[in-house]
This record gives sequence, structure tokens and C-alpha cells, in this order.
Amino acid sequence: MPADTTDTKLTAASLTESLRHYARYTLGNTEKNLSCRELFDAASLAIREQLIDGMAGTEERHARNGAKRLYYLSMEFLMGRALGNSLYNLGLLDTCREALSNLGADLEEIRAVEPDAALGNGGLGRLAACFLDSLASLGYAGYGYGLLYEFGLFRQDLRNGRQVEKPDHWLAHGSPWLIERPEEACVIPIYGRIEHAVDALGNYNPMWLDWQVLIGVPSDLPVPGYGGVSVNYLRLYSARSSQDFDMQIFNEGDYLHAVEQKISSETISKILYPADTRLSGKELRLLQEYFLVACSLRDIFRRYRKAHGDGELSSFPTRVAIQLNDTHPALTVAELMRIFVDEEQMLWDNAWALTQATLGYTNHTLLPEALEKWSVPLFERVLPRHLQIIYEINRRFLDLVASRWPGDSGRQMRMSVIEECEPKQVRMAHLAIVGSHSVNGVAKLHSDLVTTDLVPDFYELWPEKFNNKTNGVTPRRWLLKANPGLAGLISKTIGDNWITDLDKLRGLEPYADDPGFKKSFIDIKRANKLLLAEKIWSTNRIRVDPAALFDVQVKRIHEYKRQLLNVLHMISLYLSIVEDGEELAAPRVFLFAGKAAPGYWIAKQVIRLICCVADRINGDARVRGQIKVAFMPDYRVSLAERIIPAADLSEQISTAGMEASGTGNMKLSMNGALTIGTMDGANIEIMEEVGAENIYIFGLLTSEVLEMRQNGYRPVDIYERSERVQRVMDAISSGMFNPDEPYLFAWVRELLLDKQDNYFHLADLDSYAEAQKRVAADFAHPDIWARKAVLNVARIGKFSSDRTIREYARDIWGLG
Amino acid sequence: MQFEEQQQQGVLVVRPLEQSLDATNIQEFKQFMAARVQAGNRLIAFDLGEVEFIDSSGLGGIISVLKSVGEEGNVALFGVDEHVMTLFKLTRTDRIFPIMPGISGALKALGAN
Repeated sequence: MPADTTDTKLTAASLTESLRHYARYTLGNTEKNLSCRELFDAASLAIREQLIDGMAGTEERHARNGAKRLYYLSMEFLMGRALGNSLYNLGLLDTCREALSNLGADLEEIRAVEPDAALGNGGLGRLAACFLDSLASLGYAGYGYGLLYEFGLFRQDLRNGRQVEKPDHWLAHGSPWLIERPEEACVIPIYGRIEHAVDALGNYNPMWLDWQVLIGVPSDLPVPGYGGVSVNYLRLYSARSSQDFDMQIFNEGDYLHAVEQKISSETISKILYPADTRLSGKELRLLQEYFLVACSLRDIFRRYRKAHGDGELSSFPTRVAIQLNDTHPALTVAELMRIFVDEEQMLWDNAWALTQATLGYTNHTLLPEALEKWSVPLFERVLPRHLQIIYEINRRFLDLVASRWPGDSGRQMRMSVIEECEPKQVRMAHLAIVGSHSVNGVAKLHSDLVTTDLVPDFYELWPEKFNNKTNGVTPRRWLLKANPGLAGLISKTIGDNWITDLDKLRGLEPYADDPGFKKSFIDIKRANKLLLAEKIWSTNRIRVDPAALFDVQVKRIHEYKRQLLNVLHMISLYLSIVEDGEELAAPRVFLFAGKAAPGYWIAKQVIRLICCVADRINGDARVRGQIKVAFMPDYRVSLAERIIPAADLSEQISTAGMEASGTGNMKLSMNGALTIGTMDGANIEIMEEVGAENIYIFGLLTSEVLEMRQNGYRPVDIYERSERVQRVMDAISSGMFNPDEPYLFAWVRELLLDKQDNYFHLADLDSYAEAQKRVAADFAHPDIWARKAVLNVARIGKFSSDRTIREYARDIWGLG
Repeated sequence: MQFEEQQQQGVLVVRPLEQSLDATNIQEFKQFMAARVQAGNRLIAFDLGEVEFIDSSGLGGIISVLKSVGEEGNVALFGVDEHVMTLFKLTRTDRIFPIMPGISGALKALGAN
């Protein structure tokens, strides 16, 4: 392992002094008693010193080595809490615990004060965060660029089983981790018009005039790698209005107009759009995306010039790699071209070669409604010069298509960056593919479907561009930090090299049959479940038995993720107990958590349904505690860190072909939960790694879903064939879960039975229920269960984000 | 709004004595220059040494001067601040008139006597 960047290790005594210093001189508290918040701020500021030293050392090392730099552009970074993560990665957990104890404080209480940095919606944002951890831990010069939303993903309250959104004012008390850099602010023009003119040499010269100006002010969030290898940074931009606000005060009318302008400018980075894989289509979102791209590229060029001088740019792609996290930053294609051609006066073809060589694009979804498109009239108004550039890119691209497939106008229409409908649309995925040298999906199945279903024409044209990079998660946050008990057991058994080389977990395989190890493993799981049970009591006022099977589905609420299928099974079990007098092989706790996009009616109804079913089941004495159901509010990274280590069963039950990868599946498996899932996304690769006998697979395959869709899926046929389906659907229709509001759940029958259910819930119910029976039978034998769980942990190494990043670095970014 | 102006080798050299050329003063600038063009000045060099900030109105104002001097005239800029230069490049307005480091380059670009 590379040497520590910090030469002198911090002691508890010096850290205590540092804490006192910050409390007095930065927080202004000269009294003896510090509040938890003050202790958190002081501790974070003290630890931040280490991070800042690390950042400087890392920067210096990369500059000295002439390291190629990777810039990861994303509209979302779901970072969670930073204090604990920093302590683990710097190896200062015990030191800080002691230092706080010297001041009469408890580290865990202080850690609990920190709000999550929820600058993301779900998987895509959390992937970006895991990637940053791996980039730093592997010592790459890899940096994140994003937006500093004042309001992150909304906080979720549950009132009478209904989701209520509250603003996430995560910076209400400021953040000790953010280092503002006003001296590196940049000026970004938006709106305006193009005036067609001619330059001094008589060439066509389109001028961008009458623009408004935004100022982007960066703040840096240090990203420590594990073991003090590197400290990279995440640069987040905040939008401010231009300085001429002060100068526009001419008369009262102008003053008010100037205030409106200022407010409107600063709205750009005000709030994260809360729709996960659904488009808003809103102008503000387009502005946000451009703002991110424009600020990032300004910064990238500034750094490039500082390191390599003002000369020509032909080496740019050998020094800079940029990765687009989904199409949200796809404007990078046009903005890079604009900079090369308009500002650097490069010839188009040279500029285009550099652009393609620099950019890589990651696709995260096959769902057509999630593919970004922006109307041309909107583009024309907001980014007139970029639209011109996109038209030119498209013109040349379609020439290439025509030369490859002469006379094939259908191909032209399918592949064009501009969709010819009313109004015309800019297809951002096409722009991203055309402008990048690499296009990757995030799991093998997904990447295959990208080439066969999503953009087959592009694959035929450029097969060499397409590749797969299966997602991963950081074992630091998701095992070492979230599950110290299990992490400790593993390290005691096979050493701690697994932390930076997760494949080393294979060393646990022999222990799957070791009674002593399995007992410790089970004890740790039980302890985690006890802690979670306490949390469930405190948030939900529901008592759960830690001996029960903790059946967990924690993710965004979506039809394609099929929380509804889980509910159908729950109801089926409930009916078998109360109507058939069945005794379950093992008691079960159904745990749900996740947010619904505020505008997604069905998702919100699913939450309501779960809560109503929970009320009925939990309150029915006939159940005799065999089933309990809880929906935990406000799912976020810090809650995931408590739920995941306590899970026994991991629900990964999306309709096959819809979940690009999933990453919750990896985290749960890494923490010793067994998976029940469809052959979708990364579930398939998890099965390949852990072994088919150690996972519970059920349901339609992607090919079967396609066939059923083509032949016409009739849910009513399934209803008529299956007693279980009938029973469950009739129970819902009977109103037993909504005695006070008769038609509350009429939509369920309509969605799943009357209409052609695009997600095939009923088609998979029997198969799912049978798989659940196998789960229950195994769980009733703790020895069998523990063996499978240990093997899951032992074989999960592939799903470390370290592996993922190494692949990106080798295949796409060309980092050393 | 204050200006310095002088004639040099058949060129009118104008130095706006403002830190900013923007919506609040551009009308004054345009009126000042309209009068100068009306008076027969066709070769104009702007010394932007004082100007630290320019918005789209300011830029539009300078372009309007170029338009007003017609085919036989020209406008050159010199002493342009780094941030202002970035804006010129960004908007491709740097390509419609010569932008030189100093007055001698500007005069030469205008084909001064």
C-alpha cells in the first residue's frame, strides 16, 4: 500500500487541542460546554486540515508526474455524510473517538448530527460518489464536477401513509467540508441571439450577442482516498448573478428589475430536480445542465493552460479525459466544439477529432421516457450558438451515415441528432454517442441491450465505441464503515487487504463451513438487526423481532422496480395466515424505504398502499406477529448504511430488461444478505459470481418479456389461471386495506389487470411466491442460510467500484 | 460618462474613462460616437485600457459603431483586459475588428497615414 501523505500521524491529544482551537476561534464559543453541532463543526474543521494538506500533496504529486486528469461530470453526487468516511479513510477513527471523549463527547452522537449531502436522486448519483472514492483510493488524478444545490433531494415525511415532501436545506448550518473559491469564479453567457456576419477575411462569422451573464462560483469538497493515498476533490458550482447588479441601479424601476434578475440568476443552482429517470423538460433544468458544463470546461481549460502553456491544443486528449454521467452533461460535446472553434480558432475537423478523443459517455437507462430530449425552440432561445454547432455536427454526421448507407432515409431519420417531430427535438443521447469515443452501459445485459435495442444503428456504424463497465460500490463506505462488526470479523480472519482489493474476500470461502466463523457471522447480523429494530421503533413505533427474516426493498419507488409485486406477495402471505391458518416457516419483517418523485402519482400511491397494508397486517391479532411491515421514511445514504447491514433478504425484483444495473443489490450482498431477484441488470453477474445455488432467481427473462409484449400480454388470463393472483387481487378490490376510503386502491386492479401492465406484475407473481417459499425454507435452517450468506460475501469482490474504475481507466480514459 | 479623445495619423483614438461598458452607460457611449461619426470620423481606435467589464449591451454598442462607419471605415481595439478578451473570443466578436496590444498596432491595422 502506498505511503501515507501525512508524515506525522495526528494524536488524540493534538486533535483535542485542535478541536478546542476551532471551537474558540472559528465558532466563537469560549464557554466550556459545546453543543453537539459545535463539536461536529469543530471536529470536521480539525480533520479538514488533514484533507487540505492531502489535497495539496496530491496535486503536487500529479503535477510532478504529469498525470493525465479525469474529469467526471455529473448533475448528481449522492455523497451522504463525510465525517465518518473521512475518519475511516484517513485511519483516524480511534484518534477522533478519544479526542472527543476528552471533551466529554461521544463520536457516534457527533456523527449523527451531520446532515447528508443529498445532491442526487438515487443510483446514478450514488455511483458518482462511489467512483470518486475509488478514484482517490486508487491514486488517480480523478475529479468530480457538479452543482452545489442549495436544496438537495427533498426530505420525505410520512403522514397517514402519504409522502409529504419537505425542502432539504442541507446548508442551513453551513458545511465545514466546503471550501469556497471565489477567485476561481467564471463568467457564463446564456440566452441571446446569433447575428450572422462576416469576419475581416470575408468568412462567415456567427456572433453571439445580447446574452445575459451567469457567474459560477466553485466550492471544493475534499475526497480522501483510503489509506491516505490521495485526497482529490469534488468541485461544485453555485450560480450568482453578475457584478453589474450593483451597477444597474439607475432608478427604482431598474432596481426592482435588477433584483428580479439577481434572483432569477441565482435560481440556477437552487434545487436538485427530484425526478429519477423521468424528464422534467423544464428550461431551468437545461440551464442547470449548461451551467455545469460551461463552468467545468472553463475550469478544465484554465488548469490545462496553467500546466501546459498557451500553445496549441493537439495534446489535449492525452492530458484530459472527460466522462459524461448519462446525457445530463452531453452539452459538453457542443461546448467543447464551441471553445475549440470559436475561442481557439481551430478548424472544425481538428476540433472534432479532439472532442471525440476526450469524451466518454455512460448510458444508465433503456427506458425510452428517460432519454433526454430538448425542444429546438427552447434550445434556440437559451443556447443559440450551441444549437448552430449541433446542427453542423448533425449535418456532417448525416453525411457520414449517407455515405455508409446510401439512399436509406429511414436510417437517417432514426440516427439524426434532431428528431423531426413538432416541435423538433435535440436527442441528447445521439449527441453524446456521436461526440464520444466510448459509449458504455453499466452491466453486461444492459450494455448488450444498448447495442441490440437502444441504438443498434450506432452500434452497426461504430462497434468499436461500445463497451461494458459493470457498476460497483465502494467497500469502504458500504462494508468497512457501515458494518464495522462484519468488517472486523473479516479482517480478523483473512487480514485487511480486502479493503483495497475486494477479490481477497475469496479467502472467506473455506469459512463458509466453519462453525465458529458462521456463529460469529450470525451474531454480527443479529446485532445489526437489533440496532435497526431500535431505529424502526423510534421512527415507526413498530416492534420487530430481530430473529425474524428481514426482507428489505430499499430504492426509489418506481413501477419498473415493482414494489407492487412485493406488496402482492405480502398480501398473499397475510391471507394464507389469517384465512388458511398457515404457520410460516420463519417470521418475517417486510421493510420498505424509498422516495417517490413528487409528480409521480402512481409511485405515491404505492407508498400509500404499503402503509395501509402495513397498518392492517401489523394490527391484526390473527397474524400473531408472524409478519410485520414497516415503511421507513426519508431513505438516504445514512439510513441505507443502517438498513443494509441488517438485511437478510435483498429484493431486486425489477421486470427483466428494465433495471440497467442496480447497485443496492451489490451493497446488500456484500453485507451478507441473500438476493431474491429477476435476471436483470447486475443480478445476472451477481448470480454468476456467487453461484446459482446461493441466490433466489425467479420470473420472466428479458426475451420472455419481449415475446409476451409482442404477442399481447393479457393479465386477465393469468388471473383466471392462478388462484393466488385471484385471491390477492380480490382482496385488494374488497377494500380490506382501505376500509375508510372505498375506491382508494381501485387503480391497482386497473393498472395490473384491466390494462396491459407494462411491468408484468401478475405474470411473475406465482414464480416469485414459489421462490419466496424456498427462501423461507432455507431461513428456517440458520446453518444453511449462513453458509449461503458467507459465500455471497466471499464472492462479491467483482462488485467493488475499484474494479470498475480500473476498467474505465484502462479502457476509456487512458490513465496510467 | 467621460472620454479622452485625440486624432492620430488620421485615426480618432477614443478612450472611455469608465471601468464598465454596460446597459447603464451604453446610450451615452452611442450618442457620443454617433456625433463623432457624423462629424466625418471613419477610422476609429478604441483604447479599452480602463474597461474591466463589458456586458452584451456594451459589446453591442461597440459593434454598432463598426456598422455606422460603413464600408470605407473600420474600428480597431487595443489595451483590452484579459476578461474582456475572453468575452470577445467567446462571442466571436473578436473576428470582426482588429484587436491589438497597443496603439501602434491598432493604427497600423487601420492603415493609418
